[in-house]
Amino acid sequence: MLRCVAQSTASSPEKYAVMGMDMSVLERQRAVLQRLCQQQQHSWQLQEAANINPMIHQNMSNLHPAKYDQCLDEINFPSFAIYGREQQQHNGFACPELTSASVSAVSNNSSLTKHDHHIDSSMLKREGTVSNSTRKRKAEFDVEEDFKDKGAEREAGEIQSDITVKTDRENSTNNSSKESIQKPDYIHVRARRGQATDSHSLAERARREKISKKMKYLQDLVPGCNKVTGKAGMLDEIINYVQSLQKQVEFLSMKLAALNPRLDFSIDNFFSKEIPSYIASFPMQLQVANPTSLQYNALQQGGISCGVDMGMSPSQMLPQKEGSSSVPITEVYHDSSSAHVISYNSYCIHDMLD
Amino acid sequence: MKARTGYSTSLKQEFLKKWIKGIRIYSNFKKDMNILERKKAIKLSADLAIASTRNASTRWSRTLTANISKNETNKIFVEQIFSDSEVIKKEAPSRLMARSNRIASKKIWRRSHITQIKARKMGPYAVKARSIAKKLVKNRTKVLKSLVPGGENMDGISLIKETLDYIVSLRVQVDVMRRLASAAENSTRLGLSSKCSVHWLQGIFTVLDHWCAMVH
Repeated sequence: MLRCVAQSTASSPEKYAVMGMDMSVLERQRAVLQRLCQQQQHSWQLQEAANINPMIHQNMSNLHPAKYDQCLDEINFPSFAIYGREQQQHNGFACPELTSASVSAVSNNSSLTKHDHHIDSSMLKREGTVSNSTRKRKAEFDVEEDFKDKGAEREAGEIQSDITVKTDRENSTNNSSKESIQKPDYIHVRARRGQATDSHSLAERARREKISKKMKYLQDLVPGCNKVTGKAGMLDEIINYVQSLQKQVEFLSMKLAALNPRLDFSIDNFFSKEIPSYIASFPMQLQVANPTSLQYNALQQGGISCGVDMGMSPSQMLPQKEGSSSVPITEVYHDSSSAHVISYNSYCIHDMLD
Repeated sequence: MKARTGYSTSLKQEFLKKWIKGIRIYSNFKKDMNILERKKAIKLSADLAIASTRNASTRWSRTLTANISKNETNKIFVEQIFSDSEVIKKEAPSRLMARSNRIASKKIWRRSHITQIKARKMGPYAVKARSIAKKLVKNRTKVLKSLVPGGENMDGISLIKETLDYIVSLRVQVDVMRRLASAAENSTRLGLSSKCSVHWLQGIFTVLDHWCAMVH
């Protein structure tokens, strides 16, 4: 069964998303179940192989081969013991649907079910271990999910119905032989309790996990959010930050309006001052290149030799790292004619945008 | 890290280009504005520019563009600058609104039902503490929804997603504006005359394009 679940989950994780399950919850549960099963499987497989396989082979030979293999897998899983308790303890989140299907299946697979019953009881008697209620609920939930996933597919329906048939059998016979499983299943306490509302609570938990994940991103983004814990505090910080950013935008636009009587945002003028600081801050990766670009004719207002070269280099400078051309730059800089100011535009923009 | 800085740089470039373009169009549109009008023009162009960098893929950008376009005088301005694709996307929110109303009513029922169950399970005090905490969170999400454009009808998860995106864009906006403002300040301090010709801007943009081409 678990293998079946694992297969289905592996193949269609998005269905679980549709179901509202967060993968982390599922993954955890699955991991624990797998651990448990691996534990038990080692001890059981030797014992069961001889008993189960011939019986199953006999009875399932009339079944569809694909289903057969899956049923085989399921039966071999020791976690079958899970389902017995499940039925008993809750009134049927999934049971009604499954049992109705099982009724139809029973008639088809009557011989099989008898053997399954036998197998299960033998399994139980040997091991005597039973997972606790929550894990079974989860397992049945998986069954349910599988059931829903495959929808109208007959194969899935038959498999699920087989399982429920087995659980019914187990339920009736094996109530007494219970023991807790070795590994503490406290992870699964959160799993649904078997009512319709449980799917809601699980979905809610998935939703909450999603929200907390996104809040973590926000924590990285908003400065000062690390010190606050809890949703309310973080939301407070986020609100303050957004408000402050919006106010900054307002203020800066006012400042720009005040500084610029004519709204002429020609960038060259604005960045002429920025040059010395930029020059100081990092080595100019420039190369004096030949003024070949035609567009620079458009840029020029006067004949600029060095200036154009400088202007040309940004497009070339990126692939080239270390330039030795700090000298020409300073030369150009010291010449404060407006024409040369143009040449710095490109650098300034680069600087500004970096 | 490299990828992130590269991304934000290109974002800033894009924003700057669009912003300057918007301002130019606005100033051609309307000559001789007083300071308040200028401020409005700057802010408007900035908002439009930053919203358009998202290409209407996020809720807040669509709402922002839609809110700006609501004003008749702005509409012409908007349409002049940007393609119609963003203005068209206005219709998307109405569909979501109906769905979110349904979700809201369902949530209200669920909440009342769940509080009943919880009151039975835990003591009344625990429920009260939890409900107070929830109320706090609720109030703050309400405030956040009012801050983020288009946040009114969103549920928790998408609200946080939109807030994330909105914060990133706001930061880009503030960063670019601040640099421009400081540069303008410095240039006025130096007393350099302004060379206000579209000529220059075109030159700048070609360099920018070249640089973009190099980077990408």
